[in-house]
Order: sequence, then C-alpha cells, then structure tokens
Amino acid sequence: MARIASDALIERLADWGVDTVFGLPGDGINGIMEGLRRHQDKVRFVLVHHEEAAAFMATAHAKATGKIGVCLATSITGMQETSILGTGYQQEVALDKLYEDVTEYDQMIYNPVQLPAVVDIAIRTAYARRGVAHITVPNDVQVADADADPWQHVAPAAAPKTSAVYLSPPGRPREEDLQRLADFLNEGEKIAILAGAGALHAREELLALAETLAAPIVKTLPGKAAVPDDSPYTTGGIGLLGTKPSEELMEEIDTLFMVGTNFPYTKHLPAEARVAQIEADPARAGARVATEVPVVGDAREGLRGLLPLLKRRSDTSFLDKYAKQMDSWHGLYDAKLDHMPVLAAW
Amino acid sequence: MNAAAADDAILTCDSGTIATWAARHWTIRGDRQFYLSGNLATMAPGLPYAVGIQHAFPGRQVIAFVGDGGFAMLMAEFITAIQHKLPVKVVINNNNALGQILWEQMILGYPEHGVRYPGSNVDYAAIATANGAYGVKVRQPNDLPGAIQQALSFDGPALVDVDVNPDEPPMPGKVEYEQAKKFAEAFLKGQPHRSTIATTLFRDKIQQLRS
Repeated sequence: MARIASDALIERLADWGVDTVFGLPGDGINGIMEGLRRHQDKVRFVLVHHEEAAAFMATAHAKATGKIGVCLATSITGMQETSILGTGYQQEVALDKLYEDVTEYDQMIYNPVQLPAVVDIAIRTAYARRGVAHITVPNDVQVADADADPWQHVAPAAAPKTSAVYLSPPGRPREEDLQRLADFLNEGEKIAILAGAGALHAREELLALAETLAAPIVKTLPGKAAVPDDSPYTTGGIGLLGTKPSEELMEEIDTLFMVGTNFPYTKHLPAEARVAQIEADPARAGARVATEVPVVGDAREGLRGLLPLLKRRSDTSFLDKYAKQMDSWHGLYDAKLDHMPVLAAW
Repeated sequence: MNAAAADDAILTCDSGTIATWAARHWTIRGDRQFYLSGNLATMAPGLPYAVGIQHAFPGRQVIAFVGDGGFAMLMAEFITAIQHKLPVKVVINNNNALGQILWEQMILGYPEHGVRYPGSNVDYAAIATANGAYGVKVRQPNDLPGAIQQALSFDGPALVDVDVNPDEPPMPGKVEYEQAKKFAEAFLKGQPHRSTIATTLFRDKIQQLRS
C-alpha cells in the first residue's frame, strides 16, 4: 500500500501524542479518513453528530488536559481538489480565508512535501498562542503519494523538515520585573488579586500571595477553579454574575493585581486603582486597562519568584472584612437582597 | 446538584443565565473543575465539552450543566455519549427560553421579544430513556434531589431535565441605578409576564422578611 499524504498527516499527529480525533466524515476528507483507518491503533476517531460539537470536544480536551485537541470535518479541513480551485465548483469554499479571523495559524497544503512540517508549525503555534490552528488539505493532495514533490523547486530552499517538539517559554519573569512588582505591591494599602484561567495551575501560590498581602482573591469565571470557593481568601466571582463583596472590593481598593487574566468587562474593574499584572502573553500585557507594572511570565512561576520579595502583612483587617462579607453572602446564597432597589425604581 | 456531586467532579456549562447559576452555586472544593466558553461566550459548548472531557478522563464524574437553549442546539451529542458509552451527566435548567437575552433586552430598556419558545416545555428526558440512558423529567422541586442522586449514581449517561421558573432573573451582585431604571422602563413599555416577574422578585423579599 503506497504511503499517501494522509499517512504523513496522521503519523505526525501521533508523534505529537494525539490519540483522539473528534469528527464527522465527508467526501472532502475521505483521504484523511483513510489515514485514520490505517493508524487506528494510535489515533482513535470519535464519530460525532455535528462538526461544531467536534470542535467543542477538541476545545474541552485541550482545556482539561493542557494537550492539543484535534477535530476533523469535511470542507472545513478538507478542500476541493487543487485542479478546480477558483472555478466555483460544487462545495468550493476558500476555507483558509473563512478561518482567518478565528485562528492563530491557518494554512492550506498545496504540496505533499509541506507535510509534516506544517503540522509541526500548526501545533507549536496553537500551544504558544493558546489558540486554534487550522490546516486545510485539498482532497487530491490527501491521497497523493506522500513523497510526491510534483514541481520544480525555484526557491533556494529544501523541502521543510522540522521536529515534533514544543518547548514552552521560560515561565519565570525577569528578576528586575519581579522586584519592581514586589516594590509596587509592598506600597499598596488596599489590594485585591484578580485571578483568571491563566492562574488555574497556581492555587497554592495564589493562596500564599493572598495570605502574605492580606488581600482577597477575586476570580474571573474561567478562573473559578483557581482557588476553592470556601476559602476565606476569596470573594468569588466578578461582573454581572459575580458577588456583591467582589463588587464592593473593587470599589474600595487602591491597588489591583491581575494574575493570568484577560478579563474583558472593564466596567467592573476599579476606575482609580493602580494596576499590576502577571500575563503569559506579551501582546496582552496592559491590554485591558492602564497598567503600571506589567510583568510577562507564567502565573505560577511568577508568583513563586515574587513571594520571597513581598513584605508579610500583620494587619489582616481588610482581608477579614471581606471574609466576613462573604460569610453573609454565602448565608444569603445569592443576590436576592438587591431585588428591592429594582422594585423601588419600578 | 452541588451538594451531591463528587469532590473531583468536573462541571461544564453554557453561556447564558446558566453561567450565572453555575458561577454562584457550583462550589469549587477539592479537585473540582469548571469549564465554559471564555472570551467568545458561545452557545451550546456544555454538552460537547462534557463528552470531550469524559473521553479524556473516563473515571471522573463529568456534569454538563446547561439550559434548554444550549442543549437543544447540539442535543444529538447526547446520543454520541450513549454510543461511545461515556457516562456524562446532563442537568438541564429548562425555562423554555433564551433567558439571558430576555433579561438583556429588558436592561436595554425594551420589553422582551422573540426569546421564549412557544408551547409547553419540551421533555428532553424522553430522548434519554428511549435510548437506554437514564432520564427523568423533574416538574416538582421535591423530586429534584432524588433525581440528581439517581443520575449521578447511574452507570452510564444520564439526563435530568428540570423545569425551572422562566421569570427568575439572574441578578447582578450589586444592582446599579441605571440597570434598575432600564428594567423599569421595559416594564412601562409593556414587558410581558410583568406580574410573574414581579412575583418572583417579591417572593425573594418576602422569604427574607420571614426568615
């Protein structure tokens, strides 16, 4: 059985540790389905009922395992054959253009020798930018000879050969940034910590930070599991679905420390407070509000570097006040006290 | 559900009023996790998220806590769970409406329009029971704890379809004057279901005064 381009595609996914592909077959991807059939001992195909759901399943797999999730759909990853592109052939859609705005990497395979390098780059980019990478393969290329290299090379470059390797960036921020952050936080009087999905792996460090600064932790919704809800160090959620203590905390603080969050609802952030941040993505540092001390790094590594530089606070009255407010919020167990103002206005 | 679920249960959720209920009533303790659509806040990921996560963690309790709007959009994936023998638990808050949009329309200052499905609530549990999964339709509050217990202990996919009050507003932690004003404006412009909404709001106040 001659090795086809789809063998190269699926073998490379397996090299990356992919053991599951969620999807729905169609005549635009029957070549890739053959690749999956040939490698079913390594990669399991989970047949679903709607491609949108396959995308969600792959998303959830990635969110919950931290590893790449993969989905497959016809005329989404499959493209009409190269010979008829641009002719308005049946079911012909320029998928690379369609996906441009929702992907971090978006590439069509025109020549089998682009594989497996494009798989490597797609996966590395997805990891590095924590986003979606999309590869579309025309259905004639899917079943082409894996080593076909049909045209004369005119660029001074060999066919790409890369490695199935991803190394996450060093997580620890620069020492001078950590010191600046520590000085800034040591100056703050009423501090709140806003933890997001980027801090889900930093529970211990967040709790140690809250204890050291005597500052409550507010959690974004995707960051809900960062620290337990019954911890005396958190006032729970923020925003329309948050808690009243979190809202009041945001109104009272002079210093906000954001850890691993791209929280979009800035009306719920303090208007006046000074802001510091630990953010993994340099493009997002200071992206939502004016930020005096943006620090680039991993939340856990950053907090580990920061904690020894912080002055431990003995006065816990600010923290205690909000812990008490949370006790009564839990007692009330939701926001119903606030129904009255609505009725008064009505 | 929050009380009955395991200390390492994983909850998935949809965007909408269901996200508010999950935010307020799903308590993170032990190794519990929580996943929903983040910045894009898309409809309907709860059920397929649960399927994808159950596949990755076959031994964990995985619960999709969703509304009828999100569930119906991709409900065929409950069949996927049955076919692949994935023991996901689905709890539907069935208000027969796109609840979040309803309240957002009112907070914009206009009466709701086009957000409630016509007719009586769909019975989603029948889809489960007809296909070998556990399914139960809950219409009375007293039946809920037993139904949840049964679903969580069932060895396979399970679905609890709960009829809930469609006029229960997801209140912000702290109501701002402007929100209350817009809400009142919507009432004055002819918001339907005014009396049941008001009754819901008053009911909470009355319960507080009694306690």
